[in-house]
Amino acid sequence: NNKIIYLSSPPTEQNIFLKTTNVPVTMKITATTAITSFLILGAATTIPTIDAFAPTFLTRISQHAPSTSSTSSTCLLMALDSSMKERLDGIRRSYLALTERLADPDVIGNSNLLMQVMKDRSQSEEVVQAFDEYTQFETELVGAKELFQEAGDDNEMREMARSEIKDIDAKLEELEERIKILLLPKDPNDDRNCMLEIRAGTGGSEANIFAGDLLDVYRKYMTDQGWQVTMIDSSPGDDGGYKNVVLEVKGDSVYSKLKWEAGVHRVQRVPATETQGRVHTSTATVAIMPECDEVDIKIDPKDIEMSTMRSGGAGGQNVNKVETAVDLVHKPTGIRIKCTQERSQLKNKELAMKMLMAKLYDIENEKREAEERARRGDQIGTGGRSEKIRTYNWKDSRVSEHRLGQNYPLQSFLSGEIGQIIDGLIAKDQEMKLRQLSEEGAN
Amino acid sequence: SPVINELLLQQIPPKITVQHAVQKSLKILEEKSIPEPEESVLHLLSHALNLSWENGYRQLREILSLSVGSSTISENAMSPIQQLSNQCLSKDERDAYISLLERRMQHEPLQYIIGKWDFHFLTGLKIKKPMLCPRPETEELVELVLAEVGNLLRDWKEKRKMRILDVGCGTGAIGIAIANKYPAAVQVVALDVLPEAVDLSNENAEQFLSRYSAHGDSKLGVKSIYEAMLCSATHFTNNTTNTSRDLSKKKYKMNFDIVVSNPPYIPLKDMIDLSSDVVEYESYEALCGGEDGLNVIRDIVHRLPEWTFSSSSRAKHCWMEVDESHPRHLARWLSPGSVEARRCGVEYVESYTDFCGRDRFVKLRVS
Repeated sequence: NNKIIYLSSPPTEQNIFLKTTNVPVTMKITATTAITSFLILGAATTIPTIDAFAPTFLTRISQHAPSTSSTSSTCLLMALDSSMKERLDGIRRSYLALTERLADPDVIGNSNLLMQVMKDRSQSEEVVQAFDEYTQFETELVGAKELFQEAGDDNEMREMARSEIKDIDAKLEELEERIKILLLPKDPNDDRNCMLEIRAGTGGSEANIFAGDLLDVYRKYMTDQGWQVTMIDSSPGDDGGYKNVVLEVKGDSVYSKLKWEAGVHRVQRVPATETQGRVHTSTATVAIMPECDEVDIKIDPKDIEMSTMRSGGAGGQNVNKVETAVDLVHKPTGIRIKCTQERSQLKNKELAMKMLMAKLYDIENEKREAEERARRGDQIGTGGRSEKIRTYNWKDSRVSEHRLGQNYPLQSFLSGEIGQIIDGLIAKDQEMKLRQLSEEGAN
Repeated sequence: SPVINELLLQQIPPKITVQHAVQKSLKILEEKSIPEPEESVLHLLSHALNLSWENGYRQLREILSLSVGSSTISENAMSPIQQLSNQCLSKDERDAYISLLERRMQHEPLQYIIGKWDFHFLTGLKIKKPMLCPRPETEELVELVLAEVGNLLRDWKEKRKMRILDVGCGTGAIGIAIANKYPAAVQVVALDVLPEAVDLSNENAEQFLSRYSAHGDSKLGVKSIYEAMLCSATHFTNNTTNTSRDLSKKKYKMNFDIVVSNPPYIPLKDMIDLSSDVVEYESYEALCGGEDGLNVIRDIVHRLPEWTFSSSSRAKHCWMEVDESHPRHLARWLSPGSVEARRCGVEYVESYTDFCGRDRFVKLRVS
């Protein structure tokens, strides 16, 4: 394991180890910090002396060094440079300030304010803790290196110190990764609850049945996640499954996980209704709409036409009916929503409005995201609605996730174990964002 | 009726699955023209099977839409819905379901058979005959009053709680729904002429509001938030010369800030058009408001100035759910500045439509 750690202080006579060890060199370069010195550990070839420490030296080193791209996903990573450290210091200061506020009697007495302060504080908690750990390890590293120097000719001591340095080095790198990911810009909708809609696509009855199968899978996954699921609207298919079904999903980090399911899902199998054993291809579209409120979307009551079961004939005290289904049409967009789930008409109305707002918000988000994607010219995204994201093949018992270019066992998917796919998509998204950041930094 | 019983026993045999029970009983109700056959089956079977209040009927609705033997393509284990669908009714469950269906086939309202229903944000409000089953329109009345309560609270300078009078409380739905939103800020007094209504309202209040009275006015308990009393609108007065009220009774506190009512308002001529599930089960007194439907409303109007009397100059409003024919009558009778409005001390302000576009709610002001 050959490594470079670079220090931000210039080389001095103290860094005797530079003179004495011979190693192959792999270099990490950032655009923002000047490399002033480096510590090299490990086996191997000759290295220049400290005198040669200059830009030319760097060029010469690169001739000997293996290509930086060989370090696959760790290539082009930035270490915690000074601007990032400044930023982290700022975050830590705010975090400490918020922690103090929690003890403020004015804050304690106001439950809304208290909740807000706690929420803001918890958002930085993870990165602050990681950064604290990082600075602690940096201090330990200094100590370990001192130990190495003091060891002199004591080989045993030197070995101990060297292995400690290696350990700390590894931990620092891991923390760097974590911190960089935590500092990535977050999708503002990630913490929201959402509505999940499955709509049968091409394929007639088989598409409806497939939509029902997807629903089963998602419900299993949601139960495993401990999320609260309510069916808001559904149009059952004549031969089974659903033409259309909408769920409300509430819980932790719902949108951040489910958003990866948005898009067109394709199934290849022999339908139940097929008499001659031919394989058909059908589709279902999944839409994931983050929950929103009046702050995100304003709806003019005049744009809404609502009808209920009581609309015809007498009403009020004259009639006692329990059916309180609400049918809502948003005139400007033509979006139609039916809500039958609640016993209380008021609750059906509120649920229908919630769904409408989520749909309108989703349309706006989609527009904005499409513009973003066009601007960046990138491939991966959380669904253009018509992006074909997955194909399910029954004969080969596999699920092909097209965005990752990977296959997964069909049975796991059908048992509700979609976490693996989602984690893969999240990791790839983070990698892409990190790469973009470093490219922007290099420019 | 033995005929109904025989039919049900025959059509819903022992060891029937949930799915078959749903399908068969639905057919029976449809053939007998029972109103809302699908809702009836879903809610009654859910009740007989003791499924969750929130999800039971939804699961059964899904089962109803499952065709027999579908979804066997997925080679994975049966989903909970499929398991429920294939479950056989136990003897007790079958017996229970059949007796529930019998009652429904006599057109008894579902809320009476099950004994509770949801209203506004009250989940599982107890409902008993002959008290009126709360209607969805009345949820809108509650929303109108809640909007005014919210407005008043913004500038509320009094040291006491806001006092609201609910006339003709029935199950207690309106007053309890209001108190449920603002338990710390309002005190509701509710009146009804039926002892069963008073008892039921207080029982429901205990169920929904006792959680709020744990601290604070613990001596009074729920009564500090909601109390129902046996009294008619006319008799709710401290003016003893007009009524035969017992002189030894203590005086009622009268400084109400808002009066709300869903009084009996159906005009006599419309009573004959009511369906049997309404007219044969729900209280006549809770429905019929006399010849023009305005009898109880007139009683309320006459008492309004006494009920809302206080030193404050703030406008006091009365919100009522009424028959479609009433807003224009009331607008004429209590037209601001008219002789009658001045005599009564009450003015008509405006009317509101319900979600079906019918003139359903009126707002009056004590002048």
